[in-house]
Amino acid sequence: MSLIDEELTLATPRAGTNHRLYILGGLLLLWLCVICMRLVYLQIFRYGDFQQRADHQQQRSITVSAKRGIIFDRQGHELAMSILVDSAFAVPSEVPDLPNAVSLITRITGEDARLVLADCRSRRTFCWVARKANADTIDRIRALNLQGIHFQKESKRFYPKRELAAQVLGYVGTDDGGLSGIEREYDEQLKGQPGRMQISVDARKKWFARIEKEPEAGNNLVLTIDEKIQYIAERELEQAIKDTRAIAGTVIVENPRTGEILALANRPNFNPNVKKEIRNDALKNRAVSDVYEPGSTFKLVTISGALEERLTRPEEVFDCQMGSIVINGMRIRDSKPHGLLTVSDVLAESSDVGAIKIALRLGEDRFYKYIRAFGFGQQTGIELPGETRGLTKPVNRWSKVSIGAISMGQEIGVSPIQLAAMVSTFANDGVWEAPRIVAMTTPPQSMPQTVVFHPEHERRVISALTAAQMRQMMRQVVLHGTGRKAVLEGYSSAGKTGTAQKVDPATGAYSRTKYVGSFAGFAPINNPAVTVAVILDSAVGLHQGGQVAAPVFQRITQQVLEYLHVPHDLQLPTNRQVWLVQNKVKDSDLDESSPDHLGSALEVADVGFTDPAPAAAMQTQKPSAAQGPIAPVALREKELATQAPSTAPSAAANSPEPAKPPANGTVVLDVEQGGIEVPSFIGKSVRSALEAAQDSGLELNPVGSGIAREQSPAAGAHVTAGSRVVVKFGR
Amino acid sequence: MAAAATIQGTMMSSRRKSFWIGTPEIYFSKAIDNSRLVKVEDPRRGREMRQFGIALCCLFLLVMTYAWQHFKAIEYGYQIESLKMQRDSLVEMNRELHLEDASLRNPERIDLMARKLGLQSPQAGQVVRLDVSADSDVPVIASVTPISVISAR
Repeated sequence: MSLIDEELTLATPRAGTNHRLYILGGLLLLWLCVICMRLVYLQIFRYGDFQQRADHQQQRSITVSAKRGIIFDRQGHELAMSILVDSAFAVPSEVPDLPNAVSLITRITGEDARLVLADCRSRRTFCWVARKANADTIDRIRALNLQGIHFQKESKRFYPKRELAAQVLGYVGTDDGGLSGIEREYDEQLKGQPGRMQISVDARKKWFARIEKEPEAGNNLVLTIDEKIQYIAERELEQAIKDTRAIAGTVIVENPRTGEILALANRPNFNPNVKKEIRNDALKNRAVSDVYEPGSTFKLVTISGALEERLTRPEEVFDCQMGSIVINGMRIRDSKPHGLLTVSDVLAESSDVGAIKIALRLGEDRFYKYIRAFGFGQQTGIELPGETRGLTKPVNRWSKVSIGAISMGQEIGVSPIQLAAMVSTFANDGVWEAPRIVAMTTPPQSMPQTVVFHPEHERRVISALTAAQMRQMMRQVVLHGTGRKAVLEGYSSAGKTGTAQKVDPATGAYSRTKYVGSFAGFAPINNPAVTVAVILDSAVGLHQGGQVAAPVFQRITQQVLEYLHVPHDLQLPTNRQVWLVQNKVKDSDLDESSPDHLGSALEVADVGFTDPAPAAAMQTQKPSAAQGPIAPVALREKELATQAPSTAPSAAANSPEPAKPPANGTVVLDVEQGGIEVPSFIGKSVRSALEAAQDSGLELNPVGSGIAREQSPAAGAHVTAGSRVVVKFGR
Repeated sequence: MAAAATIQGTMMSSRRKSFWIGTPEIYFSKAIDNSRLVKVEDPRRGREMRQFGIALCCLFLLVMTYAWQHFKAIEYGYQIESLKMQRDSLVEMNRELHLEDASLRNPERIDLMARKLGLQSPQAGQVVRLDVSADSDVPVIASVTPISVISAR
């Protein structure tokens, strides 16, 4: 027992030591638990926050733009493409003397050193110092051998054809985002998927890692534009701007059968490669975003509507009241006094009085229906940004003079592309095609291919017969009307001139000095290959559409048809010098409608309709007669012989007798000679008409069934072999 | 009691620890003659050893093969990367040449050069396309157009 006691005596201090050890162990365990809990808190619950803060301090993610797709013209020529160029960037924490380094680099690049330095100081890991610079600049920066300056490949956009189709293509910003034109409209398809570059900095502030996600190239784009036709249009427009000192101009070349835009030129323009020099006024694509009063070109809508509704015929005679008419107490005057004019001559001479009378017969509702059907007051849907709808008013907002004003192209706003689409409708047998400029998109690494362009949106506005009649009437505009400067060599052409007053921003009234001259037409007549619309804004001196725009149409259309290798439908002049002399037209002979505007302060009418007697007297003095119509004699005689006074309007009925061709003075040009004479199909059945057309080497376009009632071109007209003749059959 | 005696003994020994210098160790040499022992041949063990040796050789070869193909793969990887870079470089050079080609084909540039050489635009009827009436027997110059748009009508 004594031993046990002694042992217990010895064990007591040991137990105390163990107890203290337990306490120490417990404290250590508690401390460990606290540390673990803290670690759990920091590494699990606050993980995202700290990771974000660490990334912010150590890493910088930079987006690397993908290579944008190539924009091709219809022949596969590159209009816009991207290649890799070097950019220089700084890692500010690595640069020993940042201000000095920035100063040295900006001396080479020419950028503002303060801005670059401020940008670099606000960031620790990354800042651009020379973005998408040229090879020479990068070589010079590389030669400096500065610490902390690195280089990275980036995609840069180039426009190899410089100013060509600049407004169509648009341009891109520094980050390769489309800012205007097709580049903006198709930005999503073109830009592809951008890559990512990650820059990390270690504890010693050394740039040590870069993880890149490869960017994916964007899709390519194929336009309907032909770069050579585009160049022809731009060169001739530039020449016209120099000649007329116009402030702006637009040319549209379109395939009337499909609505493909072959060229779309604007002046002023810009070089998209030099972004710093781009002016805002040059960026505007006037072809789709400009609204102007079309003037006399709108008479095409008025007259075609009346023809389609069978309210008049091309041969019907209207009394143009010596170029004066009163509407709702306001007098409208033609620039020249016209007496009796056929509907065809109303168009050829661009008589406002005649157009107003035809519109009055058509009526407001039907007139508005055709305005809308021809695509005015709505977007055409062309794949370009900023397209305007134009300015049209519904009939319930028309004033009493609106129908008169609109019939001659005032009180309505249209865009050049709408005008071109309208004229193409006549060339396309009365079917309106939506203008389009993008043929398709292709994958980045596509193989050689042929794209078949199909028109998508089309609607019939007028019948094929009415369209054929309009083509013949528009032909007369070029042959003996206000568009005589649009006569082509070896090709027949048709069109209409227009001259509209501009609104003076200072006074808010119509200017007496600023005009918009235009010409829209197509060629050749029987199988139109191209429609060309030319608009010149504020030409100085000569400003009428027939004086300034028709010659541009002539030069462009002649070259484009030759380039497209369209067969000549007229015999080429044997002696070009003689031909040029014969076609030389005095500018004073091309005056068209009066600039009087119904919306401006016009004099109050003091008389009603003009007395028919002087009208008849003036009829023999009408300019077309004095100059001599340039149509074939047979055709002219046929047209005038088939005039029907019974269907003439009341004013026309007052005239004692229909107009007669002048006894002399008729000039038959060489260009009308040759070809096939169109036979008369009137009275024949469809079968016999087809046989007759086949025998004559013509293509028949029958409309309806039964016996042939009307035909266009008229019998006796000279056309090329294989031309189409529209014949309307009825029972 | 035995436990008590052990404890007591232990306590006693601890008390004597101060002057105890340890038990003296005495070594005796003892000659062992195993020359008469003869190792009996063990065929099983010999077979096992051979199998082990072969397995070891196979393993060594496998390891060496793996290492060889691994390093070869790395080497090929470098070559592939190098060729990829070369390809990318050539593709990029091709694009640059395309760009240069497109710039040189700028109609405005060609037009200006032609006019400087005294050439003029052709008159009506002077444009003759050589490919329109090309005879099948006559050789023609090949050309590649990556994309072309033709009208459906």
